[in-house]
Amino acid sequence: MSSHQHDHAHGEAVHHELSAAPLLVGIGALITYFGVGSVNHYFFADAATGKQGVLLWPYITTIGVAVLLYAFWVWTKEDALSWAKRPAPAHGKDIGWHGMVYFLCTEVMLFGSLFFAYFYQMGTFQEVHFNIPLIAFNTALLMASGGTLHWGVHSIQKGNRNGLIWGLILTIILGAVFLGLQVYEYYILVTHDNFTLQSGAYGSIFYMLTGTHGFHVFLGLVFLAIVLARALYGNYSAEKHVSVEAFAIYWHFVDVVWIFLFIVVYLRVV
Amino acid sequence: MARDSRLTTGALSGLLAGLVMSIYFLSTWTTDQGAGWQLLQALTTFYMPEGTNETTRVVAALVTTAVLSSLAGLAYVRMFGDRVLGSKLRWTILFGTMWSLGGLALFSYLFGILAFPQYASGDDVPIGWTWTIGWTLFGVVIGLAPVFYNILTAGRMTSTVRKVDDELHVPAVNLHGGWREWLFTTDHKKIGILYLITATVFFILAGILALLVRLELAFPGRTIMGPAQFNAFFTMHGTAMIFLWIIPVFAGFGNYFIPILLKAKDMAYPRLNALSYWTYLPAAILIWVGFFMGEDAGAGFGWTAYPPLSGVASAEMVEVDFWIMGLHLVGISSMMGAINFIVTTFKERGPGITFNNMSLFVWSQLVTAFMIVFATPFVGTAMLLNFFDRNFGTAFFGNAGGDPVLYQHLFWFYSHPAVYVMILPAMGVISEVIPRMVNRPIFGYKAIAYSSVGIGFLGYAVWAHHMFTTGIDPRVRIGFMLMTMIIGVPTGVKIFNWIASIWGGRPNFKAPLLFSIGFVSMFVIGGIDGIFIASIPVDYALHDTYWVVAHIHYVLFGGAVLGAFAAFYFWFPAMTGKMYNERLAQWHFWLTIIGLNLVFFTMHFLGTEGMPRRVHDYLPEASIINLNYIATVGAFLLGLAQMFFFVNMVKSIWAGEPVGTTDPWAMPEDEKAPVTATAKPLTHTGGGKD
Repeated sequence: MSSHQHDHAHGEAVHHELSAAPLLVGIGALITYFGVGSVNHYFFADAATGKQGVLLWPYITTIGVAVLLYAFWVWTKEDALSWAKRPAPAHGKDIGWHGMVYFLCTEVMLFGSLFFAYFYQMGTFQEVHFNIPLIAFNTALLMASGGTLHWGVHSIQKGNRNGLIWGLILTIILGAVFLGLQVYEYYILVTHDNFTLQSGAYGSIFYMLTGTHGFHVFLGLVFLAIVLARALYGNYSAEKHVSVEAFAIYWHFVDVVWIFLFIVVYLRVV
Repeated sequence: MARDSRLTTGALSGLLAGLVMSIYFLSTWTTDQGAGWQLLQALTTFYMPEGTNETTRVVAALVTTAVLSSLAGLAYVRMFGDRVLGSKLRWTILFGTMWSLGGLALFSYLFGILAFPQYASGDDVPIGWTWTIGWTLFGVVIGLAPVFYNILTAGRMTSTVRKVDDELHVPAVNLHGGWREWLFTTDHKKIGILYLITATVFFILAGILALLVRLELAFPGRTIMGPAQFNAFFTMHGTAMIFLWIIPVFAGFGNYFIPILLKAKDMAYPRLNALSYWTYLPAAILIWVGFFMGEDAGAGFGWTAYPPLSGVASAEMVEVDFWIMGLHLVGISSMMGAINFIVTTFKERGPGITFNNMSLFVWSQLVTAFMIVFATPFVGTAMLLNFFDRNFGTAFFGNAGGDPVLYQHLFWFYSHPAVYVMILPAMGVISEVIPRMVNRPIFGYKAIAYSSVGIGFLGYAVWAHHMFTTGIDPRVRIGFMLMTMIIGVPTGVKIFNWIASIWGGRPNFKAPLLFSIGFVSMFVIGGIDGIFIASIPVDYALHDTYWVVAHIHYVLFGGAVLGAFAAFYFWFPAMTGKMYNERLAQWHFWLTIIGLNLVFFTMHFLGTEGMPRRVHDYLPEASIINLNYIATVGAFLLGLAQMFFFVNMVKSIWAGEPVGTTDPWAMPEDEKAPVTATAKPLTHTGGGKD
């Protein structure tokens, strides 16, 4: 009764899995954060001899990201394996879905804080010309991607695996085109309108807000690619597809944020 | 026994209230001819002749307030003492409400206007009544709704007894596991232990920094260090104490005990749980490496890191970048932990555990987790934007077009809720410890649970009270002032329910209960300090003085840290299967209480004398020198007291007396009672009246 573990409710022994993934992610995060943190700093500089020192961040960050990628791969593999063994919940959603909901709460607040900054500084903004037809087309693309993903999820709920796969492929294509057009829009703004990250408060907040959204679209594409790989591998069924549903609500969230961005930042309705 | 002890408790609580009220007279007395002095005059003028000297008046005023409040306490006991132990919970709550809102908030506002009319009338912009009424209604609805609900349903309150230790006294974690079992663990108990040990290490380091800071301030002029080191030391002290000790130590207790108290198998996501620890530790490493890497000192802008000092002005300093990145990472860590706590509480509860009978510690951790989820992204954004300002020439807070006040909004939108993130788990611990240690069901279970929710909501509506002097819109300011005063109400509800729980119980005065009582009394002082300074004119006078330092330390040391100590002692047998040394723990408690009051109470006077915080030197005036010297002596006493804690913990883990199968918290008369005799289901609900 001293060293073994008890299930507190039933007195059965609980076996706690060992996993190296969390520690690996931590190490990766540590190295990456060190690298990013030293982005502007020269190490081993010597004022006495006038030696300028070296920029180490590209190397540190590369190593850190490599460790992180490896760690995430280990994590995802463990996830897929342990998930396969777990029975589907008798009723309600799997806890993975609930975790995503609360994660999205933090995302709401993240975009909320950026919108806060936007509204706070809005009085100081200069005139900038946006290519509204292009943005509107881009908006339509992202909305369409939400539709195709919904169709995919709907398919797997009815056990139609091919529907899921085609839904995911279409979504990824639409999302990638959206990102490409976003980059093109940035390119035009920077080269043609001379509107950059350093163009006062407006430039800073505009690029931070839309860039954060773009980064989330990018992450969403990575997630959906993983889901697609697992769908092709045959991981999902009508009963068990929580990661599909979880990443679908993530994608819908990113869509909704874009609608706010489109109305507030581009149309400047508010 | 009951009647005598009730009278004693009543008189003592009256005296306590008297002591607390006296703080205000004392702390304003030193601004002679100022408001405190005028109030003293008013209070004593009706029986003291004109021309009586100051000291006599002060003593007379103190005695008067003490006698009056003791009489009030006695009267309260005579009127409600018997009934309050019956079903008249509503009186306790009403009294708490009136006391915390009516008696203090309005008093301090009126007092502030009386005291500092130059600040109160300094604004040309009239304060619209619509704003004031709107804010007040918002506060009343959100903050008081749970209180009113409880008043209405007082008769139907359930009382909950938790014999937690009966279930927990068996050592649940093997402390001697191999290194792989610790590094790769996903077991919530092992992760909890990792959190507790790591956080305690940072508590020691940050404590040493505090002692060095106090040593520098012991005498005017340079004592042991220059200004740059001084700045770096107090910055690191605050950063480590808040982000690396208080928040993580309760994450540790939460990890260990939430699944147990919920009868869950583990946390909802065991590996994510491990990841919260394995991002907390790297964040700490990042911050500490920056601290030791600095050219002659680390980052030196205070734990709030206001730009431009933390922004473009220090763009050359790599340690500032590491500090910023570290804070970003520790935020991610606490968000992952919070999501885990929430989903565990909602989805992993064992059979029979509901929101009407689950542990109050879990309740408070749940509210805390929600506050983290909805607040922490703001500090992440603040850090990120500041990082861009420093390194990529953006104009958020610095450079051309940036606004440093925007940083303060983003920062405090997180950091004020973060104050409740620090204190709510401690309140949860107290709500667990008190009923167990006084052998009486917790009084007003729902009132305590729902007032946490009230605090959680209101905690989001008070952030700008840190920014009254930044020139923000006065209409906004008055709203935040009212919110800040209203948040005292749910807190007062808790305090009165704790007192009512102790009342008429059979107190077992061991370390956990002592620290709980210490928590309640010290937190009352710190909390009232907070309501007092919420008054805009008072804040104008005391902003950025040592008075604020006194307030934050009464709340965070007198509150959160004493709560953590209560938890350490209370759950020590459950976590290790051994008993700590009670004698050392008693020494720890009494030296801590004396030390903390010496150092932090003195700071009230330093503040009213006008000594600014975060400055390495001060004018060589006799009063300021003496006060600083007293504070330093108190700080070293406080440091010495913690030695008893560390020695006790380490010694007892290896050589403590095994608890075996006895109930560690049984009263002396039923000591060594076999655990089976006292064991009750964790979900026991009396269903009767309080």
